[in-house]
Amino acid sequence: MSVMIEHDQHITNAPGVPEQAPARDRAWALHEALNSKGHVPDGYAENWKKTFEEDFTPRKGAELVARAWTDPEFRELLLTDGTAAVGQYGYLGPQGEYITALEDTPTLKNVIVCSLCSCTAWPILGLPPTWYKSFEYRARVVREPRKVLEEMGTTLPEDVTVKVVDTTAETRFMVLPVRPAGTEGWTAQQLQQIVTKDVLIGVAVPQVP
Amino acid sequence: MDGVHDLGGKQGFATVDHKINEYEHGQTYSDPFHSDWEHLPYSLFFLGVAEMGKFSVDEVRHVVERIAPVHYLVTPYYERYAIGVATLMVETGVLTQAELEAFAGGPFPLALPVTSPGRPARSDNHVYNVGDTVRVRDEYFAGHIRMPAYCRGRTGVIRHRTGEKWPLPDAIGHGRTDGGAEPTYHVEFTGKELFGSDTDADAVMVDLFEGYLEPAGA
Repeated sequence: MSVMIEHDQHITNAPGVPEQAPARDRAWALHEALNSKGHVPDGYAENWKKTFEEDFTPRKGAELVARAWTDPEFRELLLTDGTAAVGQYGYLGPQGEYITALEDTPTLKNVIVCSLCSCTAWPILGLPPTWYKSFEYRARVVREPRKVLEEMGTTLPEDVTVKVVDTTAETRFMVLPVRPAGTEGWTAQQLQQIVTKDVLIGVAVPQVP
Repeated sequence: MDGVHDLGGKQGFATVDHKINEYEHGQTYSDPFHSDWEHLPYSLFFLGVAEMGKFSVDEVRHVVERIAPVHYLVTPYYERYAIGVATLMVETGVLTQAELEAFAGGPFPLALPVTSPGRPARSDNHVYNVGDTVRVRDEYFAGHIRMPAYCRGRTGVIRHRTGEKWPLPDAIGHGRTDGGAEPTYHVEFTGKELFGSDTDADAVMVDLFEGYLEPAGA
């Protein structure tokens, strides 16, 4: 479990934990203090909220994977110049300007993390989920990825090599998973359905129902 | 900066609180925000970077690293960024802490002051090619750096050199303009090289700035 603190109350009973107004009050105070000095354009935070919620989505990454599974030429471009491939779709954006796709094979599984904070290919994976930003994932997946994936529900065969990719600079990664058997002749839309956010991060493999 | 944020490889943490593909409302992806304020830290971070030109993305990473260790460890993710952006707004003279506390109606403790002036890009960098074996420089640096400690001094193989260049985080993370422009390299280490026999990772790949590397055997 993550560290959970009750934020409706001031916390004063732990050494090293400063007394604080509730998180919500402090976050809005930052907005209002900036706004009171004329620094916040009309609708600024609301527009970002809309971008974060609606434009940055793992459905875009799924679209790229489904295309790569069915179009060898696009697959080659995605693996050699991910930025150009994503650019063809107009899906480049903040925290997603230099893209590398990591190719899984029947004997290699890639898994993405940002051990230092939370770096993620926002425009094509969506903002990172809470668990990806947790201290547990950041600390452990670098060192015991096989065990972490097992606990999360993905059991990797012994003969599969596990490579963890730590997002420590400007490259933003996506995993290109192996196309599972039983999906022959599927439409692009059907293929996209099995490429979930967790598949793009690398902790899951596509499941055929 | 050898802070508590540098978590890669630390032991004693429990299970990751997630089962694959299981998100709220039966979705296979997450809602980005779970409270009415959680979009504010990122939005105001972009306000400071893109609209006001007061600080860089790297300085935001560094200020979050500067939150006092116990404070960092008990503070949820988005709240750390609210504290970080507020701190930079105070440090750059846009706001005062008193103003923030007046609007918040209570204490608004900030990140701790910088303890390093940062550093410029090196002038003696090498250019590496895919397949080259490199060593991460065995250096200790109190300022912002994008080298997780688990790879310091370790040897790995270059898998990719980026086609673009960026300023060295050790400089721009301190608001300096002498960070130059460097490619980064995807350097693959064996799990054993990083953690001996105490790992089940076959390989770990880290995206490292040119200035963090030296030829293996140097």
